[in-house]
Amino acid sequence: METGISPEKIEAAKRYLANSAGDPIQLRFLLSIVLLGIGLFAVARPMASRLQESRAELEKQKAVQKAAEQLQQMYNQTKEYEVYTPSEVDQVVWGDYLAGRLEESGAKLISLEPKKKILKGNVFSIMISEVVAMGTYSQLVDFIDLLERGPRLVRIDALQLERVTDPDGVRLTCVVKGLLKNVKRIDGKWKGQDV
Amino acid sequence: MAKRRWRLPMPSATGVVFSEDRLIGCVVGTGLTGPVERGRFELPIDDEGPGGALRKAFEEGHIQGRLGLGVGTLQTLSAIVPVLPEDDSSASKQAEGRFPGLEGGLVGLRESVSLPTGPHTQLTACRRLLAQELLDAIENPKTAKQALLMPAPHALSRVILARRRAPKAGQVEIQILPTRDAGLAVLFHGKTLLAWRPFDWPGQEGIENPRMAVLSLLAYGRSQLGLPPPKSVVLRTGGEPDEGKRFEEACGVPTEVAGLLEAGEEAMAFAVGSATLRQRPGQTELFSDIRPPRGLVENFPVVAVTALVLVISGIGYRAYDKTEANAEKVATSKEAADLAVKPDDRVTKAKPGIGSMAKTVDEAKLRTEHASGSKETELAQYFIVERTLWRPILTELPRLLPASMTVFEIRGRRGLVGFGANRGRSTGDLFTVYGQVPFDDRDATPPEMTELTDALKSSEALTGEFPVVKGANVRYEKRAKAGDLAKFIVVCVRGQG
Repeated sequence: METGISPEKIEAAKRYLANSAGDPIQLRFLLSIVLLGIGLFAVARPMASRLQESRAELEKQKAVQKAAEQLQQMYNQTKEYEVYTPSEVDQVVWGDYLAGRLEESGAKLISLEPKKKILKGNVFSIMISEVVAMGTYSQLVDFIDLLERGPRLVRIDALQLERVTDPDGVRLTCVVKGLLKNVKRIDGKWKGQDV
Repeated sequence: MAKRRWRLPMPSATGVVFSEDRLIGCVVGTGLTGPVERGRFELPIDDEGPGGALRKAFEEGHIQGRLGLGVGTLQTLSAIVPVLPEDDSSASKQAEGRFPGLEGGLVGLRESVSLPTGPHTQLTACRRLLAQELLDAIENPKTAKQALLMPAPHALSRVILARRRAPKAGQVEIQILPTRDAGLAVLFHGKTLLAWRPFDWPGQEGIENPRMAVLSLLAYGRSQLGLPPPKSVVLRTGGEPDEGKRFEEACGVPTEVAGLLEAGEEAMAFAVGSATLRQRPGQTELFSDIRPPRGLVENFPVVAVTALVLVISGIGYRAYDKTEANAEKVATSKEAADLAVKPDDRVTKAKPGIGSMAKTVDEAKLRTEHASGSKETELAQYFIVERTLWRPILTELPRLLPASMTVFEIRGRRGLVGFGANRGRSTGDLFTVYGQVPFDDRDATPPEMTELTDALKSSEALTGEFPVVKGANVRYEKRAKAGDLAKFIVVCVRGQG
C-alpha cells in the first residue's frame, strides 16, 4: 500500500518504537505522551465543550423558566387591579364619577375642571381633573376617602384645604388622577404585540 | 474455620546473598515508613553451587515477589576510572578490560560519579559464570526477566544512608560496620559509595584491623581519586564514646560512635530485598548483559497506565455525568416553564413532533409578552403603591392640634413618578399645616408650634409618609382690638427634607 511516506522514515519510526519498547523510561515517556494526547484531545476537550454547551443551555432555560414564572406572577398581579382600571372611559363619565363621590360625601361641588390626559405607551391613560369643593372638614375628608377606596384606581397628587369665611366652611382644591386601561385583554391577559 | 487475615496487596521482594557455604534470603514487604522485613531463610550451598541453592529456595517456596540477588563484597569487583568520551563499549567489556584474565569474563555495570578531579565512571562487576549460573537457576521465565543481580555493598549503602544523616555533597566519610566476626569499612563521597574494605574483626576486639581498613581507604581516596581528608570516621558499633576517642588517636581522623548497623549477610539480604522493592524502571544491573533485552510486555508500566486510564476515564465520566445532569435540569426547567404559562397560546407553540398536541413555551413570544407585562406592572406599581392615602392623615390631624391653635390651611402634595417626564425625578412631596395662636412675645417661639411638631412626629399615619417634621416661618401679626397673633407653618417632607 502506498502511503506517501518514504520507507526510510517508516523504518526509522519502527526502530524508534522498538527502542522505546525496550527502554522502560522511554516507553513510559511515550505512553505518557500518548495517554496525555488521548486524554486531552479525545476526552477532555470534547467533553468540556459538551459540558459548556449544556451549561449554557441550562442557563438559557433557567432564564426562560424565570421569565415564565414572572409572567404568571404578573398575570396574577394584573387580576388584582384590573377590576379597578376600566377602559374606554371619557371625560364626561369620569366627571360623573367624581361628582357622584362628592354628592355621596355631602360636600358641594364648586368646579370640576378636566386637565390633560396623559397617555403612556398605549397601556394606560391617566385622567387628570382639578376638583374644587366646599363643605365641612369631615365631609371633605369623607370625599377623599371615597375616592381613595372607591371602585376605581385614583390618587390625589395635590390637595389644599383652607378655612373660608363661613364658620364651618372649608374649601378643598385637589388634583385627582385616575388610572384607566387602554388595552383590551383576552382572558385577562396581555395581547402581546398590541400592548 | 480459621478466619483468614486480609492484608493489603502491597509489593514484596526477596533479597538473596551468598556466602561461601550458605544462601541467605530475606523477604521484604512494604511498610508505612519504608521496607520491612517479613521473613528470613537460609539454605546450605552444596556441590551444586549457588545456583543449586537458589533452585532449592524456589522449590521450597521461599521466594516471594520480585527476586533480587546480591553479589557479596568479596565477589564484587569495583573500580573508578576517568570518563573516556570515545569509549562506547559495554560496561562488561570495559570491566573485562580493567580486570583481565578472569575465566569466563565479567558482567558489569557502570555509573557516573563526580569527584573533585572531574567526572569519573564507577565500574562494578562480577564473574559472568556466577551470573549465568544464577540466571539459569531461575526457571520461571517471568521471574527470570524481572530478577536483578546487584553488588550487595551498593544495596547496603542505601540502607546506611537511610539510617543516618547522609554526608553533604563533596564531603568524605568513612563508616565501619561490624559483622559477626568481621567488619566492613565503606567510603562515601557525598551520597556515593566509592569503595569498601572487608576485614577480620573477631569479637570486634582491637582496633588494628579496622584502622588498617580505614587507612587503606584514605590512601586510595587521596592518591587514586583525589579526595579531600574525610570529615569523620563513623563507628556503627553502638559502643561507648571512649571507643571513638581511642580510634581517633590511632587513626588521626575525627571519629564518632553511632548506633549499631551490621553488615553481615542477613543485613545484606535485607538491603538487596529493599533495593529490589524500590527498583526504578530502566535501572541497570548485572544480569543486563546476559539476559535477552526486555520487550514491550516486560517494560509495560501496567500500574501507571491503569492509573492514568482511570484518571482520564474518571474525568470523562465526571464531565459526561455533569452534562447528563444538566440535560435533566433543562428538561425539568422546560416542564416548569410550560406549566407556568399553560395553556396560554400567546406564549406557547406546538411541541416538535408529528401530530403532537402538546404545547411548549415559545421563547420569542415569551420575551415579548414578558416585556409588555413588565412595563404594565411597573407603571401600575408607580401609580398604586407609590401614592399617599390622605384620609388617615387628615382624620388624625384634628386630634393632634393644640387646643389654642387655629388651622387656616392645609396643603399636601405627592407627585406621580414613573410616568413621562416625572420618571426618576423628585416631585417635591410635602404636607404643610398653616396655623395661628394668640401670642404676645415677639422674641420667643410659640409653644404650640413645638407642641404640634412633636405631636406630628408621634403620628404613625403622618411619619409613615412624611417622616421629617419641622416648624418654620413664624410671623407675628398685631391686631388692634384683640391681642397679637403668631402665625406659623409646620412642614413635613419625605426623605431628608
